[in-house]
Amino acid sequence: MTQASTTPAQPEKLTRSGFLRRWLGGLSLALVAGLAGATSWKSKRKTQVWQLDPHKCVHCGNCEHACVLKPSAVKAVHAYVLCGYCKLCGGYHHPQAKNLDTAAESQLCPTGAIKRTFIEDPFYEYTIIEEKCIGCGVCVKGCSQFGNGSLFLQVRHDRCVNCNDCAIARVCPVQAFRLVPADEPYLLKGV
Amino acid sequence: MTKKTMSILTVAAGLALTMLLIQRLRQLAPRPAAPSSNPRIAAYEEQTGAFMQVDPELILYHETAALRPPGLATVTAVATDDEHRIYAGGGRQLVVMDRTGTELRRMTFTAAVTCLATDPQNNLYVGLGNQVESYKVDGALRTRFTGIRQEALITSLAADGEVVFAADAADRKVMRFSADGVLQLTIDGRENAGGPGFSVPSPYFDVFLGQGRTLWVVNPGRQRLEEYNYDGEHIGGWEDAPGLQLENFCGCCNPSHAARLSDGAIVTSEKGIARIKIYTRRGAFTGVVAAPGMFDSQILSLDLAVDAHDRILVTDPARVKIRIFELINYTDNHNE
Ligand code: SF4
Ligand code: SF4
Ligand code: SF4
Repeated sequence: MTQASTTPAQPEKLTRSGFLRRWLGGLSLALVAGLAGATSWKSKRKTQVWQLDPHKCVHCGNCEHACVLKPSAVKAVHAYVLCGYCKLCGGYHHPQAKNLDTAAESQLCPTGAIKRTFIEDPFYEYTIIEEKCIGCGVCVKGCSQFGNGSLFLQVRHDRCVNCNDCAIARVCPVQAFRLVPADEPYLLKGV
Repeated sequence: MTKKTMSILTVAAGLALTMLLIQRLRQLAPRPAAPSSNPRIAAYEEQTGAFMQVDPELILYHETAALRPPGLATVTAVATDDEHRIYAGGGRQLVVMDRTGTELRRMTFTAAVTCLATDPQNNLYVGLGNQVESYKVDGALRTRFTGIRQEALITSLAADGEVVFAADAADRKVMRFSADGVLQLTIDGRENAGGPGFSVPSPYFDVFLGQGRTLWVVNPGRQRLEEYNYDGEHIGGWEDAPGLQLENFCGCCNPSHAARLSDGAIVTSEKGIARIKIYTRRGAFTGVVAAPGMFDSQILSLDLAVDAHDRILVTDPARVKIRIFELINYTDNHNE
């Protein structure tokens, strides 16, 4: 962590090591930023909020439809620290993809919510475009089966209305949902 | 890359691989299948499931034994020697068995066993994260290897009695040692200075000896095998073969393990879709040893060893067994 904070700003051409420095500097920065405003009022209101444990989640797909919100308050998150930056990404590429490219038919995500960026041969970075993500968990399933499990789902507390009885928790087949302290509302992987 | 960048990359990669190793060990037990009412998930499972079906005509081997190493809670590393002893490692334990699975000896280490190998004199080499130790056939310690980085993660060993190769997944390099454990040189897989070298996204980085003093290195992030001479010069290899199709290697880090048969053919294992296959030395797919349906989970670390009769020994961490496969009918279709 110390190394990252003393590292100079990113060069224009990003390298894999640059991305690793980025995560050293702060995993899931976007997540935390999105939180800052939204959770502060919520934490005043409630001391506990719903979250899903990504180590228990079996990516059944219920998170997409069971939430009272449309689209769901659950979205994919990427733990760069665990990512292999692979050319063939189980979370990005469709199982039947003919080419390892960014063509629509090569992508697994139904909404095109994952951006693939070339870093240096043979490394690619994968970024969730949050506003497009519907929390279906297909990418999480692919990444867990064929990759390092760096993609995972989280209830986003900038969206979640924190129902007394979370509608997804009721149908989650592996009881991955639980109440967590409102001031630590995320259960992240890779930290 | 600057030295500082390299060191950050190396520390970061080592840390990430260690976390992944812990994560993978957690995943060794099969997880309950979830009912999938989401059509997207159901479609994905159907699409990937299609790649798990194997034409029975392509299956060249059958399982002839499944040995449970006594006292092991998991099994993640296997080796065998000329006397048909089987070495099974899991956690900090190693059990030496005869061919029937009867325990001959047991060893306990200070760190988890990450890989095993033997040499033609039946000396044993044990990878223990960032250490390598070698033992005589009676279990007496021969030497502890020197020159290995603290951050190393040794995932594979290969030994011919004169030299020992150790794959370091954290540093993405292969080290060559003398038989008494002195570091001689390092192979980084960079054909040209500044080239990318080996791509190792997760803690799977395998090596094995070829015929005529050559070393094969799995380049898992590129889904291919590369052949080197003992001085680390690239002398050949396979084309990149990414994909879920049977003849390709699925996922971002496959094949996870590989070994050589006596005729030069190569056996590989994969994670993501658990399957074991045979290729010619030049990388042409010839058949299947074990299809995905033979495993209780598709995310398994299937370490491989080949014995003196070309029987293929496979670790099955879900069942905590060494499973043994033999050729059903001899064919010469993998004779190159
Ligand atoms: S309902 Fe549970 S298992 Fe299914 S995707 Fe959501 S958290 Fe994961
Ligand atoms: S596949 Fe589903 S969960 Fe993953 S990024 Fe796309 S919409 Fe989100
Ligand atoms: S608490 Fe309500 S809004 Fe939040 S994830 Fe559960 S169902 Fe959705």
